[in-house]
Amino acid sequence: MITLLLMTHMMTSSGPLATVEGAVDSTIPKVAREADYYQAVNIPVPAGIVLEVGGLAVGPGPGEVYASTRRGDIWKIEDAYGQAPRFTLFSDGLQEPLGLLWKDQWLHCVQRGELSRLRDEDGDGRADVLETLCDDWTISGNYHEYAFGPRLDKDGNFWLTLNRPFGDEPFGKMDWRGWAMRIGDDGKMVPMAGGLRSPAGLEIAPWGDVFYTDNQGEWCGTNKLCHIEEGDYFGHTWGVESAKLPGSRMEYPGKTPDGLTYVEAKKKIPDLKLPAIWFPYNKMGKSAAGMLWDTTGGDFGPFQDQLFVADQHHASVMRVDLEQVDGVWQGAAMRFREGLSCGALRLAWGDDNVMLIGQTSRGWGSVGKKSEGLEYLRWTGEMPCEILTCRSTHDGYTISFTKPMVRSTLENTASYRLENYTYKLHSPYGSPEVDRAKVTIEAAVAAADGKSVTLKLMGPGAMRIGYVTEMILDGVRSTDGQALLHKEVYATLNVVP
Amino acid sequence: MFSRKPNYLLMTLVLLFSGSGQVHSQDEGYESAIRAVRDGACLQCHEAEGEWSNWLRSVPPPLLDGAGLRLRPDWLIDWIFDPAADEPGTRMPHALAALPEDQRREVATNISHFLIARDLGPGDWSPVQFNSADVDVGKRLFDTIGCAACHDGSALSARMARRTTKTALAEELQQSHAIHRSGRMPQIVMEPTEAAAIATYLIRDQATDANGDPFIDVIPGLRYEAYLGTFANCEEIIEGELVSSGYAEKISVDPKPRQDNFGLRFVGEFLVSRAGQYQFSLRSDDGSKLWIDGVLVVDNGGVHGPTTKTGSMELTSGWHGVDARVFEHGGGESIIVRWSGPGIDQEREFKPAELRTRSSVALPVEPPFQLEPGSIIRGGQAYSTYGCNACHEPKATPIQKPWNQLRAAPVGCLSTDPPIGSPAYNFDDEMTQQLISLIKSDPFEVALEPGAHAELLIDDAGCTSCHQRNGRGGPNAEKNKTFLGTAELGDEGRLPPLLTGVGTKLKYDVLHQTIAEGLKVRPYVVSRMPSYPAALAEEVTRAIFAGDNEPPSEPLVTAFSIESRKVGHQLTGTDGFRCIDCHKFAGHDSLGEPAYDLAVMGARLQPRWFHEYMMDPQSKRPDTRMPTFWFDDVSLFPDLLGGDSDAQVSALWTYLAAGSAAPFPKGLIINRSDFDLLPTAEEPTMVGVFMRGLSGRVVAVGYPDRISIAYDMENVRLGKAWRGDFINVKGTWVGRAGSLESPAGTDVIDFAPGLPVAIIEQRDSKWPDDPVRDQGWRYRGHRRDAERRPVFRISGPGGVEMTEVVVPLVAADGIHLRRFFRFEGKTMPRNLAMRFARSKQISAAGDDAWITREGMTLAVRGLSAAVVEVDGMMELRGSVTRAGAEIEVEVRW
Repeated sequence: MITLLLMTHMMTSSGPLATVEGAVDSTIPKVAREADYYQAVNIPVPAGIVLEVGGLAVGPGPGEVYASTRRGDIWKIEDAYGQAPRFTLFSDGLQEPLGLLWKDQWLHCVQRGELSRLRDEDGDGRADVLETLCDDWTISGNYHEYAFGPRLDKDGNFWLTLNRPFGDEPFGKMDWRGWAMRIGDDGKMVPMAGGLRSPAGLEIAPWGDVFYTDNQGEWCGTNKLCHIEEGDYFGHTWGVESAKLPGSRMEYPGKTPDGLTYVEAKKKIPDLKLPAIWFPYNKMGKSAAGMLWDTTGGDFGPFQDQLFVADQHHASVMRVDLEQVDGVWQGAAMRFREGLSCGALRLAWGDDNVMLIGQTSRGWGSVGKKSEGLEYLRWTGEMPCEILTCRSTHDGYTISFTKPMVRSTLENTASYRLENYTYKLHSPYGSPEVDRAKVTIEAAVAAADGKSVTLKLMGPGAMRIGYVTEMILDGVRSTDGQALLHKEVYATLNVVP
Repeated sequence: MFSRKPNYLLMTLVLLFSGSGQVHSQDEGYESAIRAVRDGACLQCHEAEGEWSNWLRSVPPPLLDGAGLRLRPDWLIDWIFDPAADEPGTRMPHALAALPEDQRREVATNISHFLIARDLGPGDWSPVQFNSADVDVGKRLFDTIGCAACHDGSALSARMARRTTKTALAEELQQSHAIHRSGRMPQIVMEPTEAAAIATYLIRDQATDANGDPFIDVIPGLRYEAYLGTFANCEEIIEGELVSSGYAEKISVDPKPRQDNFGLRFVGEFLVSRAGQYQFSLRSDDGSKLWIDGVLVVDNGGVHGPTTKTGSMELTSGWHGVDARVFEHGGGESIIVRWSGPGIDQEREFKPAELRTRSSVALPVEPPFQLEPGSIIRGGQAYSTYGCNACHEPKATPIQKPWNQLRAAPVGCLSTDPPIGSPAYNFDDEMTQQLISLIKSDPFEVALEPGAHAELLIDDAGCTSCHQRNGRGGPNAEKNKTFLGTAELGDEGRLPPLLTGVGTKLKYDVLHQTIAEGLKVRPYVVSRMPSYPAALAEEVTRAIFAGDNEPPSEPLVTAFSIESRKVGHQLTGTDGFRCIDCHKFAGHDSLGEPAYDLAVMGARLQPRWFHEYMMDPQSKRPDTRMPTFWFDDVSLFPDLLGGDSDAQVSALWTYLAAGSAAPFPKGLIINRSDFDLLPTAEEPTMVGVFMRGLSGRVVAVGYPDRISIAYDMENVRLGKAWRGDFINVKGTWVGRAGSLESPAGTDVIDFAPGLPVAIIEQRDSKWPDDPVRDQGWRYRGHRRDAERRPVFRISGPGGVEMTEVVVPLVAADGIHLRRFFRFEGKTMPRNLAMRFARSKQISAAGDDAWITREGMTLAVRGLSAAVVEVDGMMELRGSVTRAGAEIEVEVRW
């Protein structure tokens, strides 16, 4: 399978493969770099176009990509993967459009104040009609009143998330800020869940569940990935009064206690939803944003069915392996690819299953060489030495790898450093990692093929609900002599199997 | 070198000519004698009456206020002691000529004490450090912006080093009109930093060591200066509060004085090992700029996050001046300068060894000056005894013989040995005889024709140092080389424009403004038009107009028609003569060469000149690169206006007359990354914003016809319209943005607040003011019509739907608009009404037309509108009764 893929890529690209082959032939283990496995390519943008990507959608034609910009334009990009992509101004005049979606020959777009759909009726590459599908929420004219989405659930409903404002609200304080919305065929908005802070990513899992990413700040201990169900409360207090309005599917949660850990707070507010994944601050980005499930069936490498999460600040893409225990989602987060040109906001699968990454740093800040742009990652075909999955057991974790590992390194408990900690739900900006404790491995048992290890952890403190277990696999080595490309994994535990 | 020539001229001749119309005699002798009288300020002592008082009026002498602080005491004494020794040919007469030399020295010293004491001096003569990079920048400016057209740099700097200080000279350069009221030293428009650099260049000889050699201190690294302030551009930085300075071995934000709101400047020199073309990249947060040898090479200005800009420059080997500046608003901050070129394959930062600063210390040329009370008192007496106060403030009443009683003989001031109290002019014999003739003459004998008068004024104002007129003047071969510009336009891109027939070319006010304000429309010409004192500018303008328009020609009047304007629009763009291939338009770059802006021509030029120039450019400027578009009167576009050349030129004029308010020519490239957002020539541009006075949900639409509207989607109505510039979206496109934006243009009108359409019980019921959403009205999106104008759609109660499209209306008096409404719902609710205007006063203005107190005229078609009075306000309303109704409202303002 891998060989086949390698051949496919050999036909479509030349430069990077020389490196790949050299590495394969080499018998001396070299220092692995992310770029050896996932090559980043910038899509050239003509002078005069400021492509601050807010939304990204792959069009129906080959090489066709649509990018909405924070300035309010939508660009149709043709021959996106060629030497000289063609840019056509599909639409202008939109308000900070931060999400795009194709459905039924219409390009759907969420603006600050409305869910719209656009269509090019005469085939000149320009939208001729914009229909407002829903504008049941309102904006006050505050810069932080962003809206994210739209995403389509398995029943054909649209979902949106609405950011909370910061600072002046020149036209008054508006309802429904910090809410997740479902919009039906009739264009009517159903407020499904509240307490969101800055929900920059929204995605529907292939099996239909709705997930969103949120950004650290007041009432949000660190960046997180949450599963949204009707009536959930995510802990941010700013917009909860809207729960008293007609149509709310969330019960008014009452006063949120300030300063308890999330687990303790949940005992007082049953509707408080714990995140499926905590992204420890700075270790796993600083601004979680767009998401993308690996539905490439292996074309993009070994991480099929896993979730990629863009990080705007770190100009990076992270990776999440989810598991469901007793109906509750939890899982492990890992680094995947850093060093992109600019803050990564939106992800999409492009032609040949490259990962398109829409980027912008303006006003939000990010590492990277550029201020905005569009880049894509292409798997070079070489297998990185990575943690593949990390799943909880009744007394520890089973970690699998992309390559066979040396069993003795897997079974040596000195190969690992483990700690766990959790976060506070409180009004100050972000939470430190609190209630931190070392975790001891009682036994590490490797599988016969060396492709997984089961860690049995010591004592009841090892498997604490609502805590993150940080595992650093310093000492494990692959049978071809490689250390892990990323040796850290952060597992969030909500239910012990 | 007109500051040295005693040849000022008659300011009022034209007035006299235009009044009498009969005077025509001409006498070169009188001409120079009159100049000598005016330059010599004879009438300050010898009062004249009638015509003479105008003809012989003195050229205003320099204002001495502040001279005691501005001028070095040693120099001041020397100057009074013998002015011509310091400046041969000066207009300043030798007031103390009659005194024996030792006495003369003492009197000169006393007068200097008096002047210095009067200004509460002495001034600050302590050593001033200056950067040698500024000397180079100053020399480049001196040689290129126009100073060198009149002055010899080395002779002038030898004088200035003795005469004044860097600070005082920089100030003098920026307010020369206030000191040199004669206009002999016109004011070149310059930045304070440029004035400081020129001053540094001119007084550089002050920095000498004991041997008289330049005193230069070489320090590794660049000098940095840290300023506090909220800056929007790099030029402003040095106007902030300087809080620290020192030397740095690299350009970085390390010397920052605090986290936000500061500016940094790095100045010094860098070493080029091999001559060649070098590339510079400048990455910064926020804005930064890089000057090399005083030339802006990389412009990374504006408020932004980390952004990289590049530029390149041809450099000789050796040290070159560098000036890098960065400012920081908020958030992160950074600056990195990298370069590459011959020998530097891989772009990198400067190495410490490649950077240095040369500093000179300006040493005082004299010991500290001590005021002597006795000298001050004696100086004050001498100031009047020797007649200083005849010309300089405080002025005395003239006590000498009036002009008409003067003896026509070589006595008094005209004597070779004048008595004490009379200044010595040292005229030669010929001039003395001419002056004696003048004293004997009648004023009407000495008149000039208008043309000759214009030439005289132009010469005396120094115009011909830079400009050619009627085949005379212009820089000589050596000076010619100092005029720089763009090679792409030949000499037109480098030399100041011809003045031949300028009185028929430019409109009067434009010519006057050009002279009075130093107006310049050719940015590619490096030399700068100076400004002249207002009175002089007025006289010169009037003389040029009188001279060039003799005999006067009938003004050319072009009738406006929409068709003509349309053709003019087409001819200007890429479907026509492609004027924009070479010419800029309203600040936007041409497609090729940078020739001057088409959008300013309508306001500058006289229509007849434009017509003649278009038909035969070489007739006006023989060396111009401007092509001819009609050969034997045959147009390249025979289908437009019948191919008639006159009609096509008129069409161009009609179009250009709208200036920057005209729709952009087709093919003009509008940069979408500019914050000053502009519609393209082809279609409207739309941008979503928060707008002051409307709501957070507004789309602004800029039409190619240079009219714009703001549609409020939240309140489902047209909110505003305006003319001219569209909108600046910096507040929406920079940083986290979120500013409330406002129209950028002029003539902003606000449409009636509230719903444009509503259900009301009676025709004069109060218009509902419940929230729009509560009344069931919602925005439904828009469709772009064939011209890509947005057709907004709203829906209301009972399934009614209404669309509105705004269409510009081009008329002779400018651009107005028409609103087209259409009701598209299948059903129509009862009592549906529209409201078009609301004002304290709405009056009828013809059939189906009304005018509001605010000056908005509305003509309504498609329904029967009427004014109703509700709660003390008047409203223009009409009922909509049927589905499919189409209503048009023409709005003029």
